[in-house]
Amino acid sequence: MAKDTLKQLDRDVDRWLFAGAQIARTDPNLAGARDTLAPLAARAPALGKVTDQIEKLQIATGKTAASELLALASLMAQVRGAQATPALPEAGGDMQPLPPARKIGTPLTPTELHTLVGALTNAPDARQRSRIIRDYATSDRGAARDLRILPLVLPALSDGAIAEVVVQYLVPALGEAIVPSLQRHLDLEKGRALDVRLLRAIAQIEGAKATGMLREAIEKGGPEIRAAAIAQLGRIDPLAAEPIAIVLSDKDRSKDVRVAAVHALAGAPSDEALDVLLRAFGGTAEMRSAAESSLAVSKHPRANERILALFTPELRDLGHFRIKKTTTKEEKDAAAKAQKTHTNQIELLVDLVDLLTTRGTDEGANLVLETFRHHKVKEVRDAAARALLRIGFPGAWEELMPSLYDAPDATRDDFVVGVIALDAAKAHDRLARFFEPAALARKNGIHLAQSVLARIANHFVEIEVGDDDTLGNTETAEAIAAIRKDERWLDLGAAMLEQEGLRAPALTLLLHANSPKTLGDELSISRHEGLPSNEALLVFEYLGKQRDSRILHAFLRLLEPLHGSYEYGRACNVMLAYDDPALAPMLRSWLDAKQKKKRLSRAEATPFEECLRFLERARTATSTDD
Amino acid sequence: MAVVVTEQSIAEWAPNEKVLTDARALLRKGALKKLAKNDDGTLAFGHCDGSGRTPYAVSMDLATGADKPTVRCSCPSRLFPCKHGLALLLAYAQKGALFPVEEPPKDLVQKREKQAQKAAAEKKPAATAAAPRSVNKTALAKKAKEQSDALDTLETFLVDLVSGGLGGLSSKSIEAIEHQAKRMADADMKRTAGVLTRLAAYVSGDWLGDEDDEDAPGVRDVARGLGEAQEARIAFMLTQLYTTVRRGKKALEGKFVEEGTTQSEADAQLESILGKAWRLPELREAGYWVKNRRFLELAHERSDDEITEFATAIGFLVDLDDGSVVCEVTSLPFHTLPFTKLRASRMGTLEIADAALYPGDLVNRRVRWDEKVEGVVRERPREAADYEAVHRHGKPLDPVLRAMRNQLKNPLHPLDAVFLVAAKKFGDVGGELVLEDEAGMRLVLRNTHDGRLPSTDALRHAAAAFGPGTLAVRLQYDLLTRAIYGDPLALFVGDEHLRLRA
Repeated sequence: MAKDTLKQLDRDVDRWLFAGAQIARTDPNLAGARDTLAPLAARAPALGKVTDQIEKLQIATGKTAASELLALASLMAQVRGAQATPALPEAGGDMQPLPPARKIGTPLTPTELHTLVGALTNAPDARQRSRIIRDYATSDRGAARDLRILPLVLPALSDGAIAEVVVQYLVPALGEAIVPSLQRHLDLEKGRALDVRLLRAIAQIEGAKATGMLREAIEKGGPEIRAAAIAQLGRIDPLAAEPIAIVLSDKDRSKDVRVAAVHALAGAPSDEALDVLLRAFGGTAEMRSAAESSLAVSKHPRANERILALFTPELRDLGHFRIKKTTTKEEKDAAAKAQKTHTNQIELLVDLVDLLTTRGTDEGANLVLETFRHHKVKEVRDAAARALLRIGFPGAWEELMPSLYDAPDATRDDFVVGVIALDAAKAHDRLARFFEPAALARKNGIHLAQSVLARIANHFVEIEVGDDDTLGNTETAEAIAAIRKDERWLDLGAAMLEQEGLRAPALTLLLHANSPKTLGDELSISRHEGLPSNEALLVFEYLGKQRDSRILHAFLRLLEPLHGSYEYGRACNVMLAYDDPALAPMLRSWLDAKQKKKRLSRAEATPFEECLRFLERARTATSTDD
Repeated sequence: MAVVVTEQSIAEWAPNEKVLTDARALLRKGALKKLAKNDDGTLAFGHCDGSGRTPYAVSMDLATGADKPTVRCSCPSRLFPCKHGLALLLAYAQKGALFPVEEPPKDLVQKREKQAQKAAAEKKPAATAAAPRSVNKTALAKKAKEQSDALDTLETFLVDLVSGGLGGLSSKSIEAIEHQAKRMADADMKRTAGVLTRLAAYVSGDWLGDEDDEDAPGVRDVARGLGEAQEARIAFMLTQLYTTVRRGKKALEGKFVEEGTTQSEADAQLESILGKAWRLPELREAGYWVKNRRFLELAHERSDDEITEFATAIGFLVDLDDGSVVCEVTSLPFHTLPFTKLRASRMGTLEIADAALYPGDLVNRRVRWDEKVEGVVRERPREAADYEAVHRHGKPLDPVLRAMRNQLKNPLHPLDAVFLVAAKKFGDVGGELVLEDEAGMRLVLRNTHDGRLPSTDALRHAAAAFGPGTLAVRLQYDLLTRAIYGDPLALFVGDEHLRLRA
């Protein structure tokens, strides 16, 4: 009884603080509480204090009432604390045991966890999300095997920016502990994009144990689920996948599933599977593309022989299509049909040439070279040239070179990769020719030189690339070492600073190379009038890594072409890291002059203020041990 | 005493995440060469390929007396430790045992000696600094007068506020609250100023993340439709402020507020009400001092207070000898965070020779020691006996709740406290996670809605996989429901320490 009264009085006091002391002192609840508690005061002195305080409040007037109400509130806070009880569950019932779960620890430190959670939840300060997730997932000590991460995995699988890296790296790192949660949310019949990712993730972790689920998915799932399931089954158990994939590649009503089934046959060893792949290669464009990638890796002992056999004398001697004069409708239809067949044959031949070079046998490469030299159709010859360039085929270097200028970007890039992969130490000898004035003057000459510089720059990047939309892991450790050792690349980069159109990739190369050797060239560029802001920032970042008395002045010169808070912020970060006290007065005077000329907005001025605060700090307090 | 290097501790020493990522990449690429260590394994050195022409000379010294290794590198980076240094630390943590033993380079030995001499030289002035400060009595009297006046003004202000009721607050009232907060801050009563600033924020709805009106800077309106929880919070703040006035006045007169107030609590109020900043020698002199303690971190939390613009890191540590749960606090203003780091999590067991234990009747008293004094603190890898001690100190719910109620009796104390509870089982009641102790007493576990990861999800998994154990739990008094619930922080099962929150 007393407890309930005290509870009610406690709530009433809170209410009265909002209603005002005058209302409180005349509230009937107050008198009611006093009447209930007064008889108990003799037994409980605490209650006596409460009733005394109620009485004081009741007789108080004016401001005194407010004072007494506050005193009552203070007293009730103490009483409330003394009577506090544990919360009861919102719903009643018996205690149910927790569902079983797999053991998984919490190895991440608070700092690591904060970083990983930020990457998974797209926190405002999260950067390089995919890389962070991958790094933790592949850590040797299994840092990502942390149970606190589990609830974040499902939402992360729905986040397009990181879903792939989560499926590929994080989910396998978490292992079986995450499987029950993934299985709970997997709905084979719904077949959303999330379900496809869940299915792939489960298959990734469970491997052979997932074959039952994959079979079920092929039976019950929609087209996306069936396609993902057969692809995973082909990866996990090619033998088990083979009979199913053979049927699906022929009978399934969905094109995506048929294509996935052809992909799943890549590791299939039987003659029947090889027949299906070769048949698919002669089919529609999508089927041929899938068959091409499967045949490219097929280990079937007769694969080479059968693929070479596709290069029939008919295809070898295929000439240009001759348009005949037609008069009747039947003749026109027949001519159109013949033209379509011819086009299909050309496309087949182009893909065959690609397949032969990808398989990388001498016999195949020589056949492609032969095609490049002698085939009657230019389209086929070009395709053969592209295919050979892509693998950096050294057999007919001079012959192939002219084709490069007209090749698409991807081929040009593949060519540069191929040349470096062939022999990185000799890459400069082979690629420098594209920077000669005559080569640059050619159509697409600058474009080709840009591709070369960009690819070379990747070899100087300090950290591994491979995600966050950067290039793939094409740079091997040997190639990196060989390219870095060859100082001619730095000379070439410095020389290209004067070449319009190549300055930005050259600056990127020099920035990553971070060699003091090119300091003079960069300082000279910093004096250029009309330097675009992106190039000024590249010079800024390069100079930030060097130490020289001329750099401080260069910083101020380079601030001129910059605009907006983002560019100023990047520049200030460089100056902040440079941390030279001599820069502070120079920067302050530059900022004052700038503000006088045109007032910077708050967002633009903030990076400078922070930078100056740091540069002008009392330095004695931060000296290090040495 | 050598520092223990683990991958976790390296992550805490890294100046930022990018440097650590770069260091891992260097390690993967095999950029570290000619790695070696001295005969006792406290010095490791080698070369690291970088962007310079020649590889950088990189080394680490684990026996400098500090709680972190001294890392040196010849690269020009101004980050400390640099990626090369961190790569060496990572290599040492992974394969340090396989490093060949070699004579360390002379310059490294000289640097170590020089550092030892420097540390010894710094110790002497520290001893003189420990001498009692001269007390300026006039200044103290002036400050006491200012504080007394400030408390008088605060009392009048509170009475005015409550007289008309909080329901009639206007934008002018918010200005007045802010003005009062400044007045208290000027009188060096920062905690009271903080409560008033928070009150102004709650009343104006700033806690909701509302932006100030840019057209009329400085003018804030009263938030419409405060929720029940916010009203309860505001009422509690008023109560705290009024209690502060009453106790502050008594404290200034040198009297205990009420019968039963301990000396320790009275001294604590000097800090909480009158803004006294304790110096370590004062705490030692007053007897708030412990010796030779072993602490194990139960949980580590970082919180950012957008209202006061301070970031705080709190490590809850269990004293392995007496079972009390204390807290290690570091607090920094936001604007200093780009240049300095909050205290990192403690992954080992701390052996503290001398430490101050702040006064007060709080459950989680603050512990502090001077890290600069050699030999005061040592962090060693945890041992099975440490975990046994943790389990031994796990208590049933009844005494834990009694201690919690004791804390709640004082309106100036926080509404939460961290305890170690011995759990017999965990289960689900109507969708809620419940802990049951040996006596069958139950505690409902809920997440605190403070933007952190939900810890009950983690506990459900941990308890199901590992079974019950000893739970480090924050008991929280909810002003709305007027009940106590638990917010799980960490579960100990055998030698497993499962951290449930970040």
